[in-house]
Amino acid sequence: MSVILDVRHATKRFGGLMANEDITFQVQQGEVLGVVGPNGAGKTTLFNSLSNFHKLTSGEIFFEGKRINHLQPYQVAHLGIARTFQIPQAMGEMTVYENVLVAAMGKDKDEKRTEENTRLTVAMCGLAGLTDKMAKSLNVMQKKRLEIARAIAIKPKLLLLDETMAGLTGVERVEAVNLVRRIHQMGVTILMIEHVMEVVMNVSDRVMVLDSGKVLAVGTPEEIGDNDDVIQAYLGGKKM
Amino acid sequence: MWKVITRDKKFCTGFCLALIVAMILPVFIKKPFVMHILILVCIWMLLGMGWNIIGGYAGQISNGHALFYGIGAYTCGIGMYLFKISPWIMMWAGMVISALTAIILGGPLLRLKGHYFAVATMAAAECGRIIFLNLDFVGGATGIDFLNKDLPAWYTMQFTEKEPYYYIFLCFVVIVFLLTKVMDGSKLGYYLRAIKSNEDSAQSVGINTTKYKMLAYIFSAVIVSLAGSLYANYIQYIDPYILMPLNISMMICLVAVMGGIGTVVGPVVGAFVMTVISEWTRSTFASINGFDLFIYGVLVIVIVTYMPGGIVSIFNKKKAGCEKV
Repeated sequence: MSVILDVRHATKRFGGLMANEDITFQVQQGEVLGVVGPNGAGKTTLFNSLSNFHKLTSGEIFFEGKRINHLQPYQVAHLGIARTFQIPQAMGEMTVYENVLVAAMGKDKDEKRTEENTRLTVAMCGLAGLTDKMAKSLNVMQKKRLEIARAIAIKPKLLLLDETMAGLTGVERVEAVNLVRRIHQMGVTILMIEHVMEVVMNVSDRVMVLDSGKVLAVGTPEEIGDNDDVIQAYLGGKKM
Repeated sequence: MWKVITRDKKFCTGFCLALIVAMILPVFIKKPFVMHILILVCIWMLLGMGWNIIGGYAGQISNGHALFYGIGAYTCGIGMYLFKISPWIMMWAGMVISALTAIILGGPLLRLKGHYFAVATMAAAECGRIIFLNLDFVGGATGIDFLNKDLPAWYTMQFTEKEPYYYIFLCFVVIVFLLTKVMDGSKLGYYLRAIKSNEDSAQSVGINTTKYKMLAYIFSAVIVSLAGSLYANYIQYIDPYILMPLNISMMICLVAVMGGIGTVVGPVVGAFVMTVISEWTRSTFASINGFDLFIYGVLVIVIVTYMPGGIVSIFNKKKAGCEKV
């Protein structure tokens, strides 16, 4: 297995607030890496840095051996990193189909193939019955699915999922987990932020725990479940 | 390109019918005043379609398009007045200058969002007006009168009848209209709509938002500049008060908004309705000073209140219906 994403000493500071401090980790090609941590641990900040929606204060990010932290967000997307947003950012005035089509267009010049891909992606994300609906009229679950559909339409190598399960009911969650699994089987490496522990522990190959902007622990779900520091951070138990 | 237009059967028939009506209309209309209105409609159609690209498709509300209108008009005016160069050539020069101005202004201004962009473009247009007011070689506040009777009419684009103007302007309207239709279904059209809907997610799927907004701004400036060039040749006298007051910028915006922003047909319908209402009220209520503007204002408020999607939204009921679900 090769390293697809290599983050070295990533630090992001907002004025006096240290959102990410000296974060170093690697993502292996083809794995699912879950990112967990209490509120304010800096998970979304890390995602924004990875997709270059803001620039790191210091540190470096390498994607497939190429330094990317000086690029624009659209350039990162061209390289093959797709992201979803924690608060769904659908293109409200466009239909579901157009939302995905716009994403697919950048990847392929051929019109027929693009349309075909779009239809497949929409169907795969369970939105086939809603193609002609305006994106703004969707409910939360559908909007989250649309986020994923738009992200995978650019045929990414690495997918950053930001809390795609939050606010979903049990049944919806099972469907969403299946969707993530299917995307993973297509050969996409996944880095996912998730609050729902059950999902993280089930889906991830490895889990990284962030707390107050620092990496607290990295390991397999079992290791993380037994890690005393993690229990301390989450439950506030006695320090061993 | 031709395929894109002919694919939409309904659009095709509508367009052909409208074109035929527009072509034979002057045969029946003998009144110069009505011809004058039709010519103004053509100019406003061009202005509306130009604004629609940056304001309607890309969603960047510009309140300063009178600047490009002025640039187009002045390039033609100066070319004829000082150097006796045909407006057929100078209008292209005007478009190039407008495009360059758009690039220079767009660099910093397109970083601004929403109201800030609107205010900044408005300020830019006002600056332009004041510069033209104070430049002596373009006539300053007195303007330029560039009527030229020595050169042939086809060369100066100055005719005594109104029909030639009408047909020339109509040609340009048709060209710009068809180009808008092609853009609407192209990658550029989709990208601009994506940027309008949500800039962040547009970036996240790999759209270079800066580049596409700039492209939209340039196209928009070029079309408005063309309208300015044509208008200058029609009235043969230009000064900053006619071309670049704030209300021209507002009217350009209003034409597109009334018709339906972000649609191909919207600005065309808007221009027609606006100009007809404006000229009709002016001639009907001429006896009461200022009453025409009052009526005009009320009608605009009524249309905007009851048809937020513009006049074309009446015809797109089906699409509007599925939005509500």
